[in-house]
Amino acid sequence: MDIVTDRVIVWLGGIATRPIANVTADTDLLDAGVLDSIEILNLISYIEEVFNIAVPVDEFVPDNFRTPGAIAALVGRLREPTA
Amino acid sequence: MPIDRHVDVLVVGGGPAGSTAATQLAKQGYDVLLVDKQHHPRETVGESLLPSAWKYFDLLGVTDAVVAHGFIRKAGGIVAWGDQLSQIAFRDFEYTRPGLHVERDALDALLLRHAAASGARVEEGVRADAIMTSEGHNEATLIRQGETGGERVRARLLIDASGQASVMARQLGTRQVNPEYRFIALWGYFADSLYMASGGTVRPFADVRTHPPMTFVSRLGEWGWSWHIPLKEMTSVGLVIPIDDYKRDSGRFATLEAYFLSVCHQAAHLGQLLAGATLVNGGIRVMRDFSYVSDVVAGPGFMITGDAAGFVDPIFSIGVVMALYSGQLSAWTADRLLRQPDRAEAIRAMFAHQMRGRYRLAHTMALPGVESASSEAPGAYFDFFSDAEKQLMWSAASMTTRSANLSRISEGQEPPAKPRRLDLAGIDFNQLALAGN
Repeated sequence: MDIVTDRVIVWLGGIATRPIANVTADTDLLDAGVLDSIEILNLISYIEEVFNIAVPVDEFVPDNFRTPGAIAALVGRLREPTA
Repeated sequence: MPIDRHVDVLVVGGGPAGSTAATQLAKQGYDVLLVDKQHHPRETVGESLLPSAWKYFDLLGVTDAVVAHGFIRKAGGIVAWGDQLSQIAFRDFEYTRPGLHVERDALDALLLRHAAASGARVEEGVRADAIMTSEGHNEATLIRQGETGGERVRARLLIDASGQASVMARQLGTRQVNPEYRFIALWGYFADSLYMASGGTVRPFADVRTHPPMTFVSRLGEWGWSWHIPLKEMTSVGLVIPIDDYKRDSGRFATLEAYFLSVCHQAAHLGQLLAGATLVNGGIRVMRDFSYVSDVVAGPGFMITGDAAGFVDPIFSIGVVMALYSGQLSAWTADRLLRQPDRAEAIRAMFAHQMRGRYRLAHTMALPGVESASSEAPGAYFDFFSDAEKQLMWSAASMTTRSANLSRISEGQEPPAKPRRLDLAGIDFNQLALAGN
């Protein structure tokens, strides 16, 4: 598991409203209600700050946030190439 | 005009959306001024809350206060739609807490006092006039009730949470009344109404605390409907009627009240619930053309939130939850805007996207026969919700004939094989006979 997925899973473990056990890279966070309409905003703030990215509005679609793996893939795409 | 005061955020309106935004921003240390043209507690409509409201109460830190107030807990809803009488219960959708029937004067005052206790400066009986918005410095003149002159305040950000007054959208000329769905709502309060509890069991009002009521909705004509919402002391009953039907039928009555009572008493089952009830608390309230949307919900220096941004139809009890959500979204957006002014446009776009998504979903779900011009947008938005929430939306929509749109936008989804609703054979007066003995 890559480091971004790992960080996302750790973050998910700390959210208060609906913590669930055994989150993997493929856990469906939307169907299960883990990432609800408010937590998804908090997640965006978190990944923007930690990974120094900006999530544009056209990337704010369910498929980019469905699983920790999908979130990590989004972060990867948006991350500025490191020199 | 000289500037008398400077604040970070000026919130116009102290309903649930404004109080939520003000509370969250004040908690983050921003200098927040909230003005409301009225003094709270003040009466308003929208008394049925879905259980998802608790999530927002938790975030605000008001859950204990809401519980302590002792609002009526409700277990779900019963809908009489033509020949179909059906019920949904919140516990079937993974909710562990009940819905509520609230006196809005009390709930809204509670939320507003909490905003003040959280550090927002709250001024009541104050109207915001001559609003000018621009990136980073918005201005408004605050006029106290009974005074003509006012003080000029400058805010880094302005949040319009003015409800149906929709101050900014009217000023911008972006408030569009839905021309196809022009409704009038008439409502009033009854003493001693019977009510429906789970399973369609009719009970006397005295049981309302021991046997939780269901919100009862009854179809009126082709597109109209009625609500029946037992509160602590009395029952809120309302009619939502297309304006054309209202114009056609109301002229035959000497007074609006006579028309209202006649429709209530003739509505399926509602008439039976109201048979021995008395209209109290000052007659009939009226609101019309409440189905509208603002094309613009954000621009340089401002956001429009809650009902001020748009409203559809109260049939699925989502108004207050939408207000709480959009208040929370406004606070999140405001914080980002104030911290990252160089990204203002992108941050506002995110806000507008969420507001529009919610509005379109509500619009598609609640308004019958809407040929949604962009079914893709609400469909994509729908997919953000959890399975349990989607099931609730599907099941609630299936209780009415207003479900075709939801089926269309959720194409590609797996709709529930059977909506989680209970079809009832009829309403049951047995408990009443027992209680009467």
